Amino acid sequence: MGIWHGSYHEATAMSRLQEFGFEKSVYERPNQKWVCGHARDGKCCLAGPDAHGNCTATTECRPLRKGDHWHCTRPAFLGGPCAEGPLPDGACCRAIPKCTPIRSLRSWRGLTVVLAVAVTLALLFLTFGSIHGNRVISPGELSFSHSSVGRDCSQCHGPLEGRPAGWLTASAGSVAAHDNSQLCLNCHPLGEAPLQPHSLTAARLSPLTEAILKRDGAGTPPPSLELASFIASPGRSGENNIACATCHKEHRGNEADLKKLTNRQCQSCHVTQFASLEHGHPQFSDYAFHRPTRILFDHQSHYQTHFKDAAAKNFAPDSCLNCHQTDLRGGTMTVKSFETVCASCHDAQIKGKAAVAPGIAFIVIPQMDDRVLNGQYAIGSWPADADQPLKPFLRLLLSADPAMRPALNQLEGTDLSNLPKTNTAKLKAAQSLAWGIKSFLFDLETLGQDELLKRITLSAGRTLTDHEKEGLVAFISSDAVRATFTNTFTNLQNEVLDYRNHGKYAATLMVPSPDVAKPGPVKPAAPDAWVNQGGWYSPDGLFNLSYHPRGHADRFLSSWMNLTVDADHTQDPGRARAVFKELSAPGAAGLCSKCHSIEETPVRQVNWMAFHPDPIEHGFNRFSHSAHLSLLDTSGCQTCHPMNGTVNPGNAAMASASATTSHDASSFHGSFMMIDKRTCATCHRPNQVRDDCLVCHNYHIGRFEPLVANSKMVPLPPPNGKM
Amino acid sequence: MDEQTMTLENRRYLGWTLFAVAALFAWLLDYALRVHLRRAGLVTGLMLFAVVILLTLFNARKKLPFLPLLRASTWMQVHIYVGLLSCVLFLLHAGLKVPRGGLETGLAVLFYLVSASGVVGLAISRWLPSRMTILGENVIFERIPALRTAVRCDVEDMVVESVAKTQSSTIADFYELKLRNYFSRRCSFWHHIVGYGQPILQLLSEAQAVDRYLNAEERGIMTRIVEQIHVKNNLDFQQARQGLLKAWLFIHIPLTYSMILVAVVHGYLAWKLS
Repeated sequence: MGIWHGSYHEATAMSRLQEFGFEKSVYERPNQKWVCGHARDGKCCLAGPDAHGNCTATTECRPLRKGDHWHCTRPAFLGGPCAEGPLPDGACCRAIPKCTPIRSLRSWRGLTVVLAVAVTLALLFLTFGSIHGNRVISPGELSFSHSSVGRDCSQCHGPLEGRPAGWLTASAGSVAAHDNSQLCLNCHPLGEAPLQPHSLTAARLSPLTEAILKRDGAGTPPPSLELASFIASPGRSGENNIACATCHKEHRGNEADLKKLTNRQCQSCHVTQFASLEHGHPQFSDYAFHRPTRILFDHQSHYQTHFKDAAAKNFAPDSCLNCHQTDLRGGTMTVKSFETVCASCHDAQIKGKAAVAPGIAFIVIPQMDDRVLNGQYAIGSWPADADQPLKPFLRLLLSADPAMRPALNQLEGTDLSNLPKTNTAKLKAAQSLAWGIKSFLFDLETLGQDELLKRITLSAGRTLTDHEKEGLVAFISSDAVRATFTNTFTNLQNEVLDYRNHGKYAATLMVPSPDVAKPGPVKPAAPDAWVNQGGWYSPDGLFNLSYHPRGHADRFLSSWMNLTVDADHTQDPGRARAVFKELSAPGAAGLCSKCHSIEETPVRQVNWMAFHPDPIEHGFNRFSHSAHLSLLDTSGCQTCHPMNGTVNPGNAAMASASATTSHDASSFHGSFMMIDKRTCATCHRPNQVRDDCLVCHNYHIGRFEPLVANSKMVPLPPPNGKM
Repeated sequence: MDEQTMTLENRRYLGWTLFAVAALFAWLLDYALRVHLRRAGLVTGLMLFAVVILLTLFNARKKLPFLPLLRASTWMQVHIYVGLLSCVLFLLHAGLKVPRGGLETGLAVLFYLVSASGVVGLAISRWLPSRMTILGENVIFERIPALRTAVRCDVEDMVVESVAKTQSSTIADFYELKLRNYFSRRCSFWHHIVGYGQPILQLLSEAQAVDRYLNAEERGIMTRIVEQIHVKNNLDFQQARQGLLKAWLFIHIPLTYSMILVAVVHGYLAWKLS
């Protein structure tokens, strides 16, 4: 190769650049801050610069005295002892010219560090001192739902106002996650225990936890969860508050999902742990229904019997969607209206065709025992043909008068048509009852609906709304009242006035019924048939003012049932209960209780409406029917809701809402079998459709009123613009 | 097996094992804390900060050579494996996503730069020294300017000698034309870094082209000058590569301190505002 193209070693084999050794080379000190200015020329002195970069060079050596002579000590690598030798006074004769020391590489690196730190500090001070510094400090964009917060950090981070520099000192250590959570609640009201697990108080959550543990056991946690639990624990109990930021991670961009949690994270607190919906998730135990439906409907009997009836041929539905539809959100299957679903078959029944009695006997003159009610127990004129007992409605209306209650109590269970003549107390009570009835009829005739409402109000023990009043009197007219009772009590006003003003009892006079006018060539319709579309009527030959329901959702029936269903809260619970019993009896006019169940909690009430989801109610579970309807095969809804194959004895309870068993959830048997978890897991499994907890479950449980602007009413400015 | 007798293979085995155990523990802890909705970010952040401080202590250790705190080479090994662990902790702490905030982005960029410069430094400190031993004579970095000056002076003496002895200016003209610049300054830094040898070959080729015009005495002098061309080339080569071995620290160390400063601010804000 030769020197022209060879390597360094080939070309320079004959020499070495540098020598090493105590006497052959200068000792390098690269860790020192300053380097001799002559080093570049290979002539650095032995002394070198001081720590401040000053040249300390004086002479090339420090002569050494041996005996009487001074000897030069210049090292060999600087040329060895000089020829001139030290001066007579022992000083070196070779002065070193002063140099300008230069920084060492290490020193430059140190300066670079100082510069970098200074620049960093300057940038940080600029950031924290700037009014816009929060833009830099913000760890990321807010999510879409919080984007309106903008740059005002204090809305979510407590007392952070002004420049970021103030944050470092003003509230050091005082901004806790829970304090910040209170700010979240300003816009997200979550009930009375918003930060507790599931937004439920420990008193509410603990029983649920115990019930689940009892029902499902501890489960089989997946190994990954077991491992995580081995290393760390949730660190919170049911009584501890959980900051919002524990689960909701903000500043992760406009499209971030604030509700994103893994199954393991959800399960870390739960007593029952399992691998997935497919493996280990408890079977559904609450659905189809864990309570009677609001509208009692026997799917089995309709599906298997009634819809196959030839009479229903033109009305019978051929699809579940004939009767059901999703709510506006698509989550719940609701029942269509009565008019759409039921009226074709059941409207006529409600109007009387299927009822035991076509109408409700509202005011009925009871039969009184005239054999004993005379003389000192005289009751005045009384219809001789009255043959009914004292009915619940009249009993309730009479009991509104406190003066009547002793008599009613005395006569409780007594046959008024066969009074014991030796029991003077009962006779006296019967006499008071008779005059009480006459007084009521007198007041009703003279005062009208006001008298009726006065007594109803007294019985209810509360103020009635106008809507209730309208329903309770149901357009009762003076004509109806007079037509029913005037012929019977021809001298009613005089008798009652004498009774009230002078305490005088008119002598008992049993008045025979007037002859019914002979019909003409065309026989008129019977009174109850005459009002078959609803209204007041008086059956022939009876001293009875009755009401015929006007059809579905009759205001008179629903108002009276609403008034008496919660009898315990009326002034006379026993008599109110009797009215409700009459209205809700099987076969009662209107057949209300055939379909409308009774709700016991939170207050006893009639379920007039089918279930409709409460838009602000957040339960543990959620499901979107509309999202699944397109996936159904030929089995339709029965893919998930298989119907019970046999009529369940429990369904007999559906015969009437008045039956006590129909209120008992434990005895209720739905029309459908329980949904099998495997049906859901067919699709909701790994690598197919999401199977994470939050697909079907809510975390925050309760009724959360949406936040609405509380706009104050302010007077409009006058037209001329002057206030 | 003590530090003195541990073989390179054993040392690497121990280092990788400890790194793997620590990384696995960190991952498990992070996973467990995340599953239990604890403040995993705070924990991994504190761990990462502690690890960075430990890494920084290596620099301090080098400034305190008199303290009996293990050998610097042991510290270097610890620095390497703990540095890798810091990358794992960073991934656990920040994930693979790019940070969105200004401060966090700055901190992440600083971490990336410090880590990358550390990896580059590790790579070149493993690769360059052996190459320098093979390709040239090792010299002390601080002596290179002086040696270069000495070489230049030697060559100039040879040029004067050639004129004096041969009464010919061929070598002197060639020196003035081609070699003065070459010997008076550092040349071809990046060529030496990447191992590109064309410039020196070009120079040698030109020197060879002059050779035909020289008599025997001049050729002897020219041969010695060419030898010095190689010496000077080696000095440039050594300076470039040793300089690179030192230069990466001008990025690695200053940015480390900047990163620590920003990390302190970031940690304080995270603790305070989350």
